[in-house]
Amino acid sequence: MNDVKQSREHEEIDLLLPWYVNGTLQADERERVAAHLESCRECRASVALLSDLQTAVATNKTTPMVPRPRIDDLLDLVKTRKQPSRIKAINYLVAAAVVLAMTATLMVMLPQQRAGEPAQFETATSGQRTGAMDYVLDIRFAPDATESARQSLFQDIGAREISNRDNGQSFRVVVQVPANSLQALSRYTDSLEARPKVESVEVIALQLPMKSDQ
Amino acid sequence: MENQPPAAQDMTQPSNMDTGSNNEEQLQLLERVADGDKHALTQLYLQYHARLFKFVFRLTRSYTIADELVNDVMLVVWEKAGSFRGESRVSTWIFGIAYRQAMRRVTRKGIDFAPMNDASDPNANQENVTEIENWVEKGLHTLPESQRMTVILVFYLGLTYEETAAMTECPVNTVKTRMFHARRKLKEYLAASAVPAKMTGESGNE
Repeated sequence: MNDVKQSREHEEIDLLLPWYVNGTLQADERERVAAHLESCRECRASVALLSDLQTAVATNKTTPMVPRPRIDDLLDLVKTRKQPSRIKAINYLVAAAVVLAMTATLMVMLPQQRAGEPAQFETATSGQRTGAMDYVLDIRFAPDATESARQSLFQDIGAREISNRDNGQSFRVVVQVPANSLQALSRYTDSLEARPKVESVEVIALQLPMKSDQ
Repeated sequence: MENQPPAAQDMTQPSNMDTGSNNEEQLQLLERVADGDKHALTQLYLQYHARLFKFVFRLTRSYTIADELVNDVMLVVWEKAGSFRGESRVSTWIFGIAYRQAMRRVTRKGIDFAPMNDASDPNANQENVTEIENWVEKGLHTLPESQRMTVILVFYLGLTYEETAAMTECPVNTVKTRMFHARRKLKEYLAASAVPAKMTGESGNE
């Protein structure tokens, strides 16, 4: 190896030494460093320095006594914060994908439609003219929610195809949601979650439109 | 001397708390936290409380801030657990939150990092502090903040250079360069402070 190459190798190895010392280099890098150390006194001295530095930093005794865990405070805070629902987030993505797919379908069909004639299909996007689409929702009620409270909510929102999913606490329903954007859908489900005795509302799917018999 | 990395640190140190199986267990806990399981949050909190406190204290040198930030960090864990995609170890993700929270607090409050022996650390256990630790601690405080943080992330948390880069949101080469300059300055500081030759790399190897 010529001097220039040796010098470059030394510089590259030198930069890796802290991670050689903390033991996180990949195997090939670790072997490369070890091989270099065999012949480089300067790097071996650096490793010794870094090892002492690591020990001093990692085992530092100047840290004060750890205070008592305040888990109750954390749980109190948690009660006041709404945790984003992963399922809901995923379903919004699914709903978005369906809306995009159906919009694409409509785009393909539109040129085939003659002027003045009705569309062959009732599409999801045609529902956007009225700003409303059908969604499948899971609504979870508080354990102490009464049957009349649940029925009252279902009536208010025009729920249909209601099915019980969890000993009377969780119901899957189909609802026409006055929303033509994901933000509006999110606002709608948030408004439902704000109702008394409602614990959570999750969007399961966009109800696909049926082919028109006309 | 043998060309092997130093022996693993003891198990009280964060960098060695994250074995594969531990990470699996913590992943499961995090999954449950994402589903709103407060019992799982409690378990995770108790596993991380001491380590987070020590880490944040290491960064801020403030007992009060470290005590406060532990709960702030775990609140973020509660809120963001569902967005964890498993691209890093759970501990790296949680300590990353702690790092950003600490940096935000430091920036907002303009904290002046006090060296050790600061009177605001009434519980500091000074009796067993070795001379070398004392020098290193003071030496660290002579470094620019970005270099000091890098040293702590690499040697306290035991992060890889990629993880350090991700946590500090800068390129890998920047991380390596910061570490290089930190080493050089610490070496100069230690030499000027008449630290034993071993610490300054002047031990006359060979």
